[in-house]
Amino acid sequence: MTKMLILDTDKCAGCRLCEMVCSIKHTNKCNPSRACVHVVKWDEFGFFLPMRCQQCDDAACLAVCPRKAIYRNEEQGCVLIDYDKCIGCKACIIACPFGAMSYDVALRRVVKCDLCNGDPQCVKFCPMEAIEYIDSSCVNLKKMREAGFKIANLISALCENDKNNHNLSKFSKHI
Amino acid sequence: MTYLYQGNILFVNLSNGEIKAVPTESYSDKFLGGRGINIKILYEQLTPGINALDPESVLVFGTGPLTGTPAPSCGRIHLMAKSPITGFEGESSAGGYWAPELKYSGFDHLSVKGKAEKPVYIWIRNGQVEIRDASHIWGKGNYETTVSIREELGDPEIKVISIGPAGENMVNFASVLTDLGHAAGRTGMGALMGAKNLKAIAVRGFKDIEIADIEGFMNYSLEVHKQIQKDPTRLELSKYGTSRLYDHGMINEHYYAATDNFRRFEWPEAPSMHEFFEKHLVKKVGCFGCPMRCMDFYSIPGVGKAITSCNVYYGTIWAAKIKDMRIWLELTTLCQEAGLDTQSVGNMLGWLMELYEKGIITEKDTDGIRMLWGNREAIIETTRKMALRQGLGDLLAEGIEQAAKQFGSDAENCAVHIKGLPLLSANFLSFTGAPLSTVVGPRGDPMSGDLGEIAGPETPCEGSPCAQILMEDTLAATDSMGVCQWVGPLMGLPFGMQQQARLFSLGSGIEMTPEGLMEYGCRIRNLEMAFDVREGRTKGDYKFPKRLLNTPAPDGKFKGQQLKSEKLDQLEKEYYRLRGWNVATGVPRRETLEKVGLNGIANNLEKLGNT
Repeated sequence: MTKMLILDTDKCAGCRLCEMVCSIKHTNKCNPSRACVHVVKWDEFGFFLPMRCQQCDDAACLAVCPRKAIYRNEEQGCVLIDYDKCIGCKACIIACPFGAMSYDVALRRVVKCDLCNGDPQCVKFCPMEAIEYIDSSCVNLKKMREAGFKIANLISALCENDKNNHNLSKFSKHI
Repeated sequence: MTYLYQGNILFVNLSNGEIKAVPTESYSDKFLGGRGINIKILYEQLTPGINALDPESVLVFGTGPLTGTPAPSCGRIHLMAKSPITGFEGESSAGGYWAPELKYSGFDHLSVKGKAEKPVYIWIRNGQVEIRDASHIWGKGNYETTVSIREELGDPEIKVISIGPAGENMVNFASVLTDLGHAAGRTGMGALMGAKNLKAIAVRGFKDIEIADIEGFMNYSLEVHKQIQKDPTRLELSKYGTSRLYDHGMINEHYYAATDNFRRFEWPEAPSMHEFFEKHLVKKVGCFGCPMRCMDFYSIPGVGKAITSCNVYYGTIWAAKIKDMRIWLELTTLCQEAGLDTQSVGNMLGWLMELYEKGIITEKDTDGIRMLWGNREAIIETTRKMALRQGLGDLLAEGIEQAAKQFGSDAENCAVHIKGLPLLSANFLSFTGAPLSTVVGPRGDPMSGDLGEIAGPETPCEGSPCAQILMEDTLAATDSMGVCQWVGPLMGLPFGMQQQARLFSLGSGIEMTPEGLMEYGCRIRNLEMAFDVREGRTKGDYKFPKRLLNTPAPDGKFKGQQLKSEKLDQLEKEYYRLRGWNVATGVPRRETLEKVGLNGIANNLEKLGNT
């Protein structure tokens, strides 16, 4: 797969904009309860987690489907449903360990994140950049740089008396 | 097909249990939504002249057409009722996540009348309404109430708006809260709910909001979101909240805070809010669909846990001279759980501290507490007693105006309130628009219109009636659309009349222009004044406090300057003249009411003799 959705939970403010735009994209109605992403919130701890399909390499939903209606699109890196084959048995809802497979009452079918055909709306709209859609081969690099920046600043503070004056903090984490 | 609106307004009568729904469109054509429809419902449903806490009083909750959509920052709920503090319009709004859920549950507005025989809460689930027993949660704090209701009804996603013990005890300045700390604090809305035995309203919904031009609405919403995200004000608020704005660095340059109960504008020992923020902030949090994330979430075990922004810092720290920020967090947590307006509490604590300093009150009056500036016992114990109406708290709970009467004229002269509303601990010489805004606005609020700019030699602190009118109408329209004032006109961010009108047009399929929105704003302001007039408001009722007039500032940037009462009076008259209201009384003239399409209201006022 080329790209994947990656979360930064520190950045998520729990605003639920992702839920709204996801629902509009998939149903043409604004209704977070019909979205494929849902922000699970722990207000008393200030912790927010946008939960959605993990697009598993060895997906439980794919494995359990009696009609082989679920398949992987390797190019987009996502797991998709072929509604022509789906019989609505809902075994996939039971199988998914992330609760990512849900059911749309109005459309009468199971639904899951399909990465919006390569243009995920949640990523487009998230004001905090808490959800990103990035190249799988360097998915951890941004976080690595951000953590490295913090460490670099610590080392720089320790090296204050160093004659060579390694002023590491001058490096912006956004390079 | 109804676009943007859900199309139903819920009316609940707690005296007789009657529940009915009325089409929103019978109100939205002329009053748009949010604050606009709220005032129309209130005008219609409330019997003029009754006591604000009478069982027949009316409390309205309003969302706007954009609420619950991806338009930026459309998560606020607007409350409106006759204020138990002023006797005129009471209005307060709260952020968080309750308003969109009310809409998803099927209703644009909720109007509550009557009084339940014993404590109840209203439960709205996807259009189904139930009035449930609340005796097991009566007495609980606000967040506790939310947790209890979620457990009782078996759904952790239920959104709750509630009162704490202060509202239950009908404390004059009690607030209404949702989530962890999103408060509708001003004008005593919590007392309304307490008077109705209404502990909370729980909502949960799964209904669609329809959008007319989906692609257009989505594309333009994204554009407005991006514009807001680039704005430097947004960058500051999103990263630092208001901690740097109310830090002594900024205040000691622009002098917009008052201390010593409005006697001084310099406080060298002011604590560093920013230091506290850096050390103790757990997370920056925000409201539904909002790119600002302006709220600060603090949690210190053993001290407290609270969400805060702007006036929660502003109204307390300088007011009571709280040097130790941990005491501030303890106070804020207490106010949020008990449901008390922090601005009122801060103001009243500062007032009591001055009275004690001068010997006007002693330990005899304060149940043995030494009312010292910044003192933890004085602050926490007094506030707790206010919420529970214990000891001195019982008198204070009646509000500063009543409490001052008890302590005598010296105490009354020190009380800084407007029509009973304790004023924000601000320096009214600093923002040019604040004094006029407080006197002519809908609820005695310095930020209800044109805040102006920081006064300087070229910009005296006077206020501009014309700017005040334009801003009031803009904010009234904003509040009626369901948009948060902070991402729009109030902070100068790019979600103003133009953007709001365009989003409304795309979303509803009904053409709206910025001028059209301003017309709604003007009509709403006229109806708000008509409501107040019907309740007996006349010029001079929102009387600017004595202490803040004709008194040269003793220190700071504005040392020696003063607000002159004749000047303020002149500005108020000019405001009425430009509004088309009677210059001597502030009563909207018939021609003006007819011009804005309120002929029925004009007739009604005439019949009642209020002209």
